[in-house]
Amino acid sequence: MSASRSGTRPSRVSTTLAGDRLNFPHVVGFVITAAAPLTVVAGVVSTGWAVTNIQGSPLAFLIVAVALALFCVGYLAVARRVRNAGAFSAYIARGLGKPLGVAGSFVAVAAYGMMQTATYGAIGPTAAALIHDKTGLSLPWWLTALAAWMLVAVMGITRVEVTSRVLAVALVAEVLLVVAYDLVDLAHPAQGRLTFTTLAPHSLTGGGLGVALAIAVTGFIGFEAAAVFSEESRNPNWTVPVATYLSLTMMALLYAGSAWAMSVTIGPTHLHAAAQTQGTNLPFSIVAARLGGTLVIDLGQVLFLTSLLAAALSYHSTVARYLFALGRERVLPELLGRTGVRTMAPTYASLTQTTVGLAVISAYAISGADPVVTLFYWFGTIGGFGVLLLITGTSLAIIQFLHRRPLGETVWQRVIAPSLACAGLLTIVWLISRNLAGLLGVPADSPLRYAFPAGFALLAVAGVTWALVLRRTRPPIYAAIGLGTLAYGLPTDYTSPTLASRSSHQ
Amino acid sequence: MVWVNDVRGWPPRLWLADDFWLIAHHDSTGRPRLGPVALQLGAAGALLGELVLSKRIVVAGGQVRVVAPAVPSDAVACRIVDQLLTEPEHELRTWLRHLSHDADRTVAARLVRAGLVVKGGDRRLFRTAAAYRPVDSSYAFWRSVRLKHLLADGRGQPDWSDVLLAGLIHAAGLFRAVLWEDAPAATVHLRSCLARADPSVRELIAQVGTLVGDAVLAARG
Repeated sequence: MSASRSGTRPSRVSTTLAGDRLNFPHVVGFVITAAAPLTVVAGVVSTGWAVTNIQGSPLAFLIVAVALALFCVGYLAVARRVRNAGAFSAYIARGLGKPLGVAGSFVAVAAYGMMQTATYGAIGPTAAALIHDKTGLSLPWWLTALAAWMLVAVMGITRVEVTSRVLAVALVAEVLLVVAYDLVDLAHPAQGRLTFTTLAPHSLTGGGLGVALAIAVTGFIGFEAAAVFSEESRNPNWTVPVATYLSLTMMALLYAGSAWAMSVTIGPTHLHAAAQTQGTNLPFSIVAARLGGTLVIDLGQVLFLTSLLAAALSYHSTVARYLFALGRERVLPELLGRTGVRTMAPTYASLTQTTVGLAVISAYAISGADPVVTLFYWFGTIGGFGVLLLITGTSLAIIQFLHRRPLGETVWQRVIAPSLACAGLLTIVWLISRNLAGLLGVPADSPLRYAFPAGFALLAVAGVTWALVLRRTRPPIYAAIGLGTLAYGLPTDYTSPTLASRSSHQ
Repeated sequence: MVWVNDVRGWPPRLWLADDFWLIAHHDSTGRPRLGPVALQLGAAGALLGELVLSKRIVVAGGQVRVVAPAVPSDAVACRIVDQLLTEPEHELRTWLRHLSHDADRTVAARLVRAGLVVKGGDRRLFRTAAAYRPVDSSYAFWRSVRLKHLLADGRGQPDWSDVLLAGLIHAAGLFRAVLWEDAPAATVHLRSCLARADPSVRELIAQVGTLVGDAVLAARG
């Protein structure tokens, strides 16, 4: 484009900008560290088996992966054209309107926030148990949870660049460990033969389907992260999609494979009982039983902890970014949009989530509720359900966006894949919401089965209402919603010329 | 090394980007007070801002247009105008990102030529970065104080250069560190000034702020 005026001389602007673009390993590294294999395999899958009597979770991972892969076709097509592409609510605002966009951000903050605080419910007991085993020291779970909380709080307001390498190393170790455990599991099948029961469709019949799907969805959250780099990766048409599909595939194989391997060695009918006695230790203790020794348990627990910490940090920064975006657009108080002068970290947004984390840990410590089931598992799966609602809303927005503003996308990208994804996601949402009591492991008439979805609905209504209030009282702020620009509360033309021109040629 | 503590010996007026540089760096050590992305984007905005103030370019609808190609007296400005004329197809956003590549160093080099800043090795643990440091820290400090007085204390009428400078300081995230307790009142004052300002000025500031925020969202900086 740039050589047109200067003959054969390459554009200086394009050359300098190409220099600071992100390469493929960087983008993949960022997406992959959002995955936390042991958090899913040891934490979510084991607890899911303990709380419910569902065998088919391996298959559910594959189903969800297919739905999300279809979703990504449209998602990535739009990502190249939306600012702030990492945030689902930006898509909703562009596709379904600003009020729903604000509703989406509110739901996003709550859902990712729940997933973030959920991690403390597993970190606390696991770390306390590990310390007890090694030193004989009995610490309450909330004390170790608070230590993790403090770490996340500090890293949230300083730069986490240094730590992302550490996380990547821990992640590689985790993946190797999970694969090694899977091989051990598969080499020692129950009753001496490999069973494919948990991958067969009939393992998901009845009420179990929704539950297994909800657990699977929770495991995949984070797959969306690469899109944030669509503007600044080298060759974004190639890098971002490949990174996204690669991470989806890796997660699907790892999660489904591990859950299946565990079901093979334990035996599908014994999963519930085994998970109830072993808890989040299940994947480690079965391998220890096959190989002998406690080293595999220790190693597994240490890496489970680093995995949970990585998840806690990752969700923390997601919440902080959503809050920061709301603050800088001044939908929420401007304070949330402030950054550290030197660190460029979203200080106040980060501190907000930190405060919530402290409140939740305190509430659970005082009430004495079981942190693993009622904090880690409940908040984790319900938070995952909230993000699923967000993804489903985004899939609708994508159809609408590409329908109104097609720009050379193929029919597959524009219509077929997004529609299939939307139908699939809606079905998953419906199946989960019919079985929320089963998911939480509470009696079928417990009011809790309505409490959580009602909470999300209330947040969405609050978001729409707030957006409409802003439209009446603060039109410049309303005008900038979802566009990733600043609104200093200046006259509309402070921001609008750019925006108008951007949206016209999009 | 020359120490001059009498600010009357120094120019009362500076290029916009020079002023930005002096405020955005520590007055005695010359270390940046901002994260690298915000620092570079702010400096890039200030370099374009000089051309806006001298009416050589107009910013509108996300595009930069050269309206007076007459050669500017300053070599840096001259080079930027030349680039803008050579590749007019790029948006403001792209130009800011392009210029932000070495805006900080460009401005520092110009300050060295003006004798306001010297090059000096700033040794840190495990690395030695070539850094620049103001010749006179009280003059550098005074540039911050001057802006604070203009916006907060009502001791002078800010001109458009000051308004643009304050806006860029705001967009880069340094406003509260410069204005301290006066920040809320000064923000109100700045807003009212910007409401009357040239649309190019407003759009430039908004675009710098947007890019800085994007960097926060992309977890860079």
